[in-house]
Amino acid sequence: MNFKRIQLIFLAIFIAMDVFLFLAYNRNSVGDSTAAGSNNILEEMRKDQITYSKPTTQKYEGYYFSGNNGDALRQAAPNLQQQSIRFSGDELVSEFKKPLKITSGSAKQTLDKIVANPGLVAEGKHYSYSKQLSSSSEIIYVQRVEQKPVYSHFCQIRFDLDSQHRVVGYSQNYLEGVKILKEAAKTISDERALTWLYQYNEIPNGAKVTWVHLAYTRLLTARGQYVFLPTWVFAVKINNSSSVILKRVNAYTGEVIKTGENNQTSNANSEIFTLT
Amino acid sequence: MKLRNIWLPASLVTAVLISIGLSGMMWTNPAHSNLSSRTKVTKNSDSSSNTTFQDIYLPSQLISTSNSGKQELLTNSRVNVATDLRDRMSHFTAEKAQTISHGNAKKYLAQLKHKGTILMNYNSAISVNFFRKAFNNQIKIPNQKFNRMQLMLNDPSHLYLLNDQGYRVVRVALKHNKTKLRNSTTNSMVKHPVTFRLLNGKIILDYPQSVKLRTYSYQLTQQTQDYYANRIMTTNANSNVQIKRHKNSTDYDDHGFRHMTVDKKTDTVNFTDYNSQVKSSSFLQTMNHVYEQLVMVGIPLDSVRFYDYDPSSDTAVFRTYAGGLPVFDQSNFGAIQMKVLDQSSYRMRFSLDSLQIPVPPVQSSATIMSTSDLLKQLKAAGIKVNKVQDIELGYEWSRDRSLAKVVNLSPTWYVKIGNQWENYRKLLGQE
Repeated sequence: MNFKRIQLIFLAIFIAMDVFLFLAYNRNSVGDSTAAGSNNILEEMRKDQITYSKPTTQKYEGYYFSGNNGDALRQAAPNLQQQSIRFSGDELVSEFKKPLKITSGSAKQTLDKIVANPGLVAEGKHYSYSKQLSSSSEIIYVQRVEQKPVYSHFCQIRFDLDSQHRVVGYSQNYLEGVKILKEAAKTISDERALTWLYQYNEIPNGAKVTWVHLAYTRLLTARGQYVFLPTWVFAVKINNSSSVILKRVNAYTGEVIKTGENNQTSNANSEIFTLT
Repeated sequence: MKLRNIWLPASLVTAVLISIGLSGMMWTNPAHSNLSSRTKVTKNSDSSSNTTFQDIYLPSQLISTSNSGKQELLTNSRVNVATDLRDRMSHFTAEKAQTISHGNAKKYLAQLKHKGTILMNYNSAISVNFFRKAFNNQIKIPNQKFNRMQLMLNDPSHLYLLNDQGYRVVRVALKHNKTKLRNSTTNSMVKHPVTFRLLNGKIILDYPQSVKLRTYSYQLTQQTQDYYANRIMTTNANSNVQIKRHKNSTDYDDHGFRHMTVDKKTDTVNFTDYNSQVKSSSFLQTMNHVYEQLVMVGIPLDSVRFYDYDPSSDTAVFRTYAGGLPVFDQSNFGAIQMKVLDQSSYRMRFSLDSLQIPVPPVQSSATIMSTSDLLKQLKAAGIKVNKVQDIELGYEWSRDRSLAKVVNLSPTWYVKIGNQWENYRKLLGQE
């Protein structure tokens, strides 16, 4: 009888010890994994009330390439009809002789036909419609290089809309002489890029990441050529504000590419879009 | 009745076993030991470790031999050919291997020129275990050394492993490998005619005609010495790092296990770690250890690849690669040189410079003379051909004269004499 009692006491002690050990073990392993897992960072972002659609861990391939705004547009300009053309630098500025009426639903269809017509837009086959960059006053087509869009002023067609929602003209930049500078290399995933962006304090609390694209961004200019690299472009909508800011992350290294207009003269990047 | 008697001792035993198990797990798990704080610091911020073990140990050279026997070096400016082939080889399984030739240079050369093959080359011998990890495959054959892998275009069930040392040829029978390697994979590539020949007992790649190669320009990325000092010298929180500044160098010492010297003249770092355990001295373990240390130090590895390993001095060399060819003259040892000193220490030398962002070059290509022309010129300059240990095409690293922070890579011949790689122009007295 006495022995049974001792056994009972021991059992109780050991069960208590097991519970304690288990808790201690669990706490330790949880505390440890914070260093590595990006899931925890995503959770942290949720706590900061940052909303985003579920990022993927898929990696892609991209290139470094160079090109410039040469005179391809100037050469093509005489063949363009039903518009008056002038150049501002390398940019072709066109005004349609007859403004084009479009309805908001059919904007893409109508303009696709115009862009595809070599008599109306030069080199149009290299461009595609970008819903995300377009706004109520401007419809943007971006040039594509190696199957990916280039988000840069140097590679765009911008259709201007007037107050009656008519296309009055467009301005165009065309990147030519595209040369691949290095063989394809794997990019990081958009999940990784998003966590870097957050860790560099580029996403304020309560912000909303509305979309993310893998697109090329101009990094620098060297020997008269623009050099582009693949970037993850995030559209960040800041709380209580209607404007969307594009944040760019180097898709190879995860570095945040600082954008700003104050240092255009240097090699620094001056790509910035503010959409309203 | 019996059950009632037994439940108490049984549950007591279970409870005791669980507690033993739990405490055992806590003791053996390295994350719970006090040592973990040291490793954690270094693991947090590997921002640039996009380069995996598999990437850095890719074979550096690819040669295809057509069905008619034409041999060509493969490079491609768009696609990394080696990664492509590696992915195709990742499902390989094999258990049988047979040595079919040994010690016969003639047979060995014939095997190198075997029609309808693709050769993947390393500069120095690797092991089967290493091959399995670097290519992610399931080849289980007795461990042995080799430095070339030969894939048959018309015979998918065999793979040849070749070792220049001892001219050994091993045939491996692959299991369930039905997919033929198609020639189309090599069609879109840049090809340069080559052939193999013996020079002083060493197999060298001979370019019978002059070759036109791409030139490259890169923006020079220079890490600061503070970056490395912070990463590798401040891991032991208890110790103070002593910094001594000299005219041309800076010394960092943590009064314990680590020492770092930065040479300002050559922009190189000499780092010694006396507290770094290597589990065993197998080739795979050593290479794994080397890779882990590279990641720990935080050197940008974007275009850096394994160049060679010298077992006699336990030294591995990594070089920057451009267009499939190694870059020389970055420093006098390559991009990174790692020497295992003993079971618990190593010395690493590396350059602060790295090439990450390419920029448009001035000239798009340059023409290089053939191997026989090179040998003729060397001979004419009074250099004895039997002193030449090796010759190789590579890129010369030079700073651009007009643009600051730009490095030009131009192709040229490198000749190994007296265990040192030299630009041929230097040997001819032109520099």
